[in-house]
Amino acid sequence: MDKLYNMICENNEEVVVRANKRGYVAAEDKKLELRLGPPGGEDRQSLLSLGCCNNNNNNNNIPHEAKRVCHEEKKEERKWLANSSSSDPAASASELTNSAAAPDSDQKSRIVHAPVVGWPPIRSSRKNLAIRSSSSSFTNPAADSESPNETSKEGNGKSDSSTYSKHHMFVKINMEGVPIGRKINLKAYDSYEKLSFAIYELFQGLLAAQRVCCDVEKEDKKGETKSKTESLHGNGEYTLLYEDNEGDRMLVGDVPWNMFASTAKRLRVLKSSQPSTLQLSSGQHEKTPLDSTVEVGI
Amino acid sequence: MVEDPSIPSSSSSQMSEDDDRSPSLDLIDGPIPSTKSRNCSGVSVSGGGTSVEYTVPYPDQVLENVLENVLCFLTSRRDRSAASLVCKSWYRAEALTRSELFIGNCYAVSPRRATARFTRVLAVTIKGKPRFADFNLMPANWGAHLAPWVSSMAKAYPWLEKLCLKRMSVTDDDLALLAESFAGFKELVLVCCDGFGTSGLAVVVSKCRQLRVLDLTETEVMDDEVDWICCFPESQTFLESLMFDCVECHINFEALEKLVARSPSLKKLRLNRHVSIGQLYRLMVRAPQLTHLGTGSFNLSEGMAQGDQELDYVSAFAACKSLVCLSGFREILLDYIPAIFPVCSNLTSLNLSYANITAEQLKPVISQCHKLQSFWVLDSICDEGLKAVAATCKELHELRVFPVNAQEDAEGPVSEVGLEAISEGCRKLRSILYFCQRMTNAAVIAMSKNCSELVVFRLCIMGRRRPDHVTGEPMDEGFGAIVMNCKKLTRLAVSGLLTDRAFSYIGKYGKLVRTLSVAFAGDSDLGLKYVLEGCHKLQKLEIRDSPFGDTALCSGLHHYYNMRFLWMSSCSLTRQGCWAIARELPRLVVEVMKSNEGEEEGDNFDTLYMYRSLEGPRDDIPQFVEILRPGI
Repeated sequence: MDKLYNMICENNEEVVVRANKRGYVAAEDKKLELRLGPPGGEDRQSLLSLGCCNNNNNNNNIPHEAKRVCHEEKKEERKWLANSSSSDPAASASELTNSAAAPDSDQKSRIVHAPVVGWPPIRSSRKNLAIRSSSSSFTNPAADSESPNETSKEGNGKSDSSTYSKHHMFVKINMEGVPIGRKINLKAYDSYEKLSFAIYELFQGLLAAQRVCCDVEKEDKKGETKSKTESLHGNGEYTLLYEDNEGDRMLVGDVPWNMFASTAKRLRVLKSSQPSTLQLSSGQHEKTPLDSTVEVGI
Repeated sequence: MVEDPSIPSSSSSQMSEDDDRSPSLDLIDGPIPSTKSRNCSGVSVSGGGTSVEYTVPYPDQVLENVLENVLCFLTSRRDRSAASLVCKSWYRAEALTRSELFIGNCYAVSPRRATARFTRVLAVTIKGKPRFADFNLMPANWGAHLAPWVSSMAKAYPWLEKLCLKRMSVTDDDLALLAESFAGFKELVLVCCDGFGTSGLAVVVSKCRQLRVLDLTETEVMDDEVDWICCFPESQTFLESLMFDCVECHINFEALEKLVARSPSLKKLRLNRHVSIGQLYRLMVRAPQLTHLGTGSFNLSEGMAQGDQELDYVSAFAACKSLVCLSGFREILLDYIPAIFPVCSNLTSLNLSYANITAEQLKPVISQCHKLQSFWVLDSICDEGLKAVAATCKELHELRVFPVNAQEDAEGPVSEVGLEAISEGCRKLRSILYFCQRMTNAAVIAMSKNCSELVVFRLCIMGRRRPDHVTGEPMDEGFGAIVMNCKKLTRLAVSGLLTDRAFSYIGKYGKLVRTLSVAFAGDSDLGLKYVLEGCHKLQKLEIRDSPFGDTALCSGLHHYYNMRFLWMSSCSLTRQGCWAIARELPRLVVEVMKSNEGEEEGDNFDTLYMYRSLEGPRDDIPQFVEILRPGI
């Protein structure tokens, strides 16, 4: 990527370029064009002529998702145009061109675009409709062969196409006896000790307000104790559980951190006196039991 | 202007500003103009909330009382603002009589300042994040926290009755504080909010015994596994409106059924997709007085097959003689469509935007909807379906066509054909949102001529920078015709291939445009310049991925204080350009942010978001936001 900028600067001294890895080329010279091929040098380019348009200064949009889609491109071509470029150079050569080339806009061999963040501007609750809303009937089951009751796609698709999920993995955490849960970002930690301490801090205020005795204060969840499990449980007052992506309840600390962090869907802090009543079963049963009673005998 | 507060999101009368007359500045800053009132020791008061004491003789007092009584009838924000600027006495009287407070940008003014000026407020509306946040263009935790507002209001407005929030971050703790603080709380409306869960809802519904309205629209609610429906008071409730169609969690249906049974005033009920049609039936039978209904899944519950029950859905609908607004159909089972026939001819609003149905499936319904004013639908109905709409719905004011397949390269079932048909048939159209894959200037021009009442025109050609697919020309002329011919236009969203010419049209003719949304458009700085120099009423400008740079940004210096905000992401701005603005306009908060956290520090940024504010830089910025402050 740096080569590109060097190239721009070297080639035209009059060009004032302020560019950096994710920045913008604010060149002031006209008609500066560069083309880049795909990474690896394969020539899979197809030139789209833009001559027919009035617009000679077509922008080439580089989506923010460039890094993510870097290796997913199908065809690409990139034009750098001065004084109108708003490209994000970080997106190497994986870029899509704008299919707005006039005469080609109806061509059947469409360029396949990698998704751009936030485009088209549809709220996440409306996405995935092709799957979820497949209307069906008794006589003509949904062509998509997806059951209308498919619940695998959750509506909160905000994290679907977002890079934020790289850095965020918020899971709910409830503490027994505290009606209001919290959220905690698992990706902010890299070890059970840190997580444990963070949880302690999270609920500390609530515990302080709630507790009668001072036992909890003596808990040192900073992990002075020997084993990971012990440190989580401090002096045994609380048990930390989590629910994984299959809905099973597990004890935190049994698996390597990375595995835990990638499969944990929610956390629960229980008083240790309760292990015998724990239901290490599918999370479904933990919910308010309405599914089982509803619909019977309608 | 038709309003349907029950259609979600921006057409709600509370939240939509496309037809309001709000003034550009809600709250002024600085010393109040003092009058030379006779015996008044006119003390200038800033917004800081110090009380003014002075003796007023009888005649002035009378005048003030009269004024207060008259001002009670002023509801428009613009009128109130104008009244408050007349003189100090009017300012004070207006402040005392304003019962509805509208905060268009939660960071433009502090809770302290707002509550200090307006002391007798019953209803508050607060808007937070900019709209592009809905599309993942802004990382989470940007801000718009309700917390400082609710804690100020808890002290200042203990008699608060109504709170409407849009794009705010609301926590369970906020809701708990709300529930504790406002004994007479009646209405909670949350549009596009997030940050809380069912436990927060539980606290609200259990403690706010006077609750009439609980409307959640396009709001994310976390599943805390709390049965909030059970938390409503056991006795009869005052519920008039309960909308939770966006809530993704399962609910306790038995509890809901009992709740509906003991809510005689219930008029609006929107169920989420976990409510089956059988359950819907039971609710409808208990609440035939409903005017607004969101049907939930409109499908059988999981595991049930047809024939297990054959309820008389048609009768249930027929019994709802007051039903005017129908939505839901989240997982529609086509066989049940005829159930709604009895109500079609009364409907003024129909939302099928989650129902993937064809034109043939739509026709039997729409052909009966003669009174329809608002229609939301998926493009699965194709141009043919739109023709059917145009043929029947002569009273249509608002149309929204959403894509089933929201991708750039999908096949486009709707096109200029549908748009043109609508323009021919629905001459009273005022608001349109249309997603398509291809369009022509001719169709847009036709709409501009046929639908002269248009106030909102939002066309989203999903392929970026697509030209007129017949002529190959940019879409300049089409949008130009819209701003030229639609004299009442206040909101515009453009798309497709657009040159600077399009923007010159907008600047020249779009004199009433208040909200403009631009993406992947324009050639050069000129485009933005045209808009900033020409659109005198512009208040909200959101731009992404367009080649506008610092020069263009500077061309709006004369206008930025009149605007609520400017958003520019992935454009050609530089830090220097933004600094120039920040230096020139100290009352503007200039935020620059990166969309990816974890990037190294540097000169680059992705997004500029700037807005006028009385408060200066906010103190709750997350790590990825930087506020450009000229050195003191």
